[in-house]
Amino acid sequence: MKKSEIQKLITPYLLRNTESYVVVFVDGIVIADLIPEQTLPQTLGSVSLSQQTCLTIKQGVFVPRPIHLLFVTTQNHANDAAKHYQNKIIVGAGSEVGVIEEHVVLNDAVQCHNITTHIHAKNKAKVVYSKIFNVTRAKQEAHLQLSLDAESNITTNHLIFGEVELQEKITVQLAHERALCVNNGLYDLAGNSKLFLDIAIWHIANDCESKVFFKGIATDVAQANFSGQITVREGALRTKARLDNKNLLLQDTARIVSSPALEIYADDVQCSHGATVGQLDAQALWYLQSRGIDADMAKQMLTQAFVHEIIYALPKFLQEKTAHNMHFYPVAR
Amino acid sequence: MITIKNLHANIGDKEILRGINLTVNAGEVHAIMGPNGSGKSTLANVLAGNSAYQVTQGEIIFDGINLLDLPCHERATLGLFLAFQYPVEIPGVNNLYFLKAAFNAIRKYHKQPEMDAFDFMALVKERSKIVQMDEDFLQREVNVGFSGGEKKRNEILQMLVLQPKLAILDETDSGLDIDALQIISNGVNSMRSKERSFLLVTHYQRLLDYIVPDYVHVLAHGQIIKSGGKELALELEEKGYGWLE
Repeated sequence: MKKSEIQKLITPYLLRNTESYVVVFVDGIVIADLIPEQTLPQTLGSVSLSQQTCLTIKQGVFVPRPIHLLFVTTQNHANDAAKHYQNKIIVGAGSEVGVIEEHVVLNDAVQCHNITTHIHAKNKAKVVYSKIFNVTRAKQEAHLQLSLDAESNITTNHLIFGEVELQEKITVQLAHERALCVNNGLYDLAGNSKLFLDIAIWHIANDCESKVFFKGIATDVAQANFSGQITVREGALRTKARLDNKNLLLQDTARIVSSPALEIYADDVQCSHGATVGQLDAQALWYLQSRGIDADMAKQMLTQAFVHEIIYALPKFLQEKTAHNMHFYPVAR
Repeated sequence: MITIKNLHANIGDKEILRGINLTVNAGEVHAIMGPNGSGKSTLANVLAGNSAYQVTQGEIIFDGINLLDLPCHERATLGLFLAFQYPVEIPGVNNLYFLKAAFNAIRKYHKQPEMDAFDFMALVKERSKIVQMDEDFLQREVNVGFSGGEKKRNEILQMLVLQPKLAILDETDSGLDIDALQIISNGVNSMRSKERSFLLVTHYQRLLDYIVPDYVHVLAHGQIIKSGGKELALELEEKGYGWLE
């Protein structure tokens, strides 16, 4: 495929109003210099393809724009043809970077993706990693592993939209002191979606902090299964950990199961967890409608209100992408 | 303005309204009084279209249209407003955004263009002054963390912005101190006109010192058992409801 054709294909997926560096993979192969002005400078880091995709950020650098890893599948495989991706992101000590991983399928064949991403934040590094998943017709299995060195900080944002089939495991290892990991996520599932999310947070070293906050919406016959476990190992003193999962069912045919869990083997820790599954508040719907707002708009307003706190915690450019993707979002705030 | 004929309504299997007949003409203020459980709030909710209640008989004609054929949002767009006894808290929805959505929904129904944000803000600020609400209330979530009095003032602000033809105030005076009662009454009185009517549902005569009604009705066991002028309220204050039943 010619570069110009690829450029045309990916244009709708590029970030608007935000400058980024773009690394495009077409059917698993990185296309060099696709957009010269958006190429990651060698002075900041590099992308190599050997056994796996490896994004390495040098130590002590501030990467001024987010790096957008855009995985495009164009080839028509036979049904259920599998694709395997392995990504490794290593962020040098004291560096700061934002990375967006996005998968796009541009054909009609049923695909099966298997993606493993490992992020290693070295001492005092700061990483914001966002994953946008709005692939229909694809089954995806993903494993995200986060390793945090001392005083490093990783924030992840998971955005899952539409009719999807995804099984994802997120493993966070806090094995060095004073690291902070925040995992935020939003799933907005429709149609025949099936989502399995499994989050495991391991507190191994002293003085680390973790926060997990996922909100979910399901309509039609979508199903989601959220399980989150925080394990505080013996000796991980002064751990702070929090895990919350709140869900909204928009139709009684949709189904969400949430199971948070804590396993604590250390004293002197602050840990909490919570989960809710509910429907739109009938009193609130009645109140809005009594003011002239029709039922559909009232439902939209309340659904937006439900996801508000997650969306407004996202970086600006992701807020825009999120609003663009959510099926109930046509109303401007 | 509104004519209610032989209105019967249930909640679940229990009949609450048992044949209400009432006519309110344009420009009139009617007070509905009555003991606890007499059906006052049910009447207010049924008029506004709360689907928790089932109308089993009768009709409600509002400006020539049978309201019972319309969902509640359409009743509001036609100019009916209910100030809630217990205003609902809506976390995550900005108060100003809510007001604007309601205001523009009504305009859209009447095929009028949306008001621009700047003009709308000016309108809301002006109306907020009438009920002495600070601007920061507009930026808060709808009724969340509001005190009882603030919630009731927020109801009146909505009424001042939406400018209904018929406003039903469901025990808007309950739980208010004298100052708040005065503020709310000023808000209501500022809207009284020949074209607009009010239905005040209240337990106490006190509200009627501030908003003087043209007619007073006593509701008991789901029926209006006595109607009179404003002096009826004073009589009730003195004698209670027992002598009527």
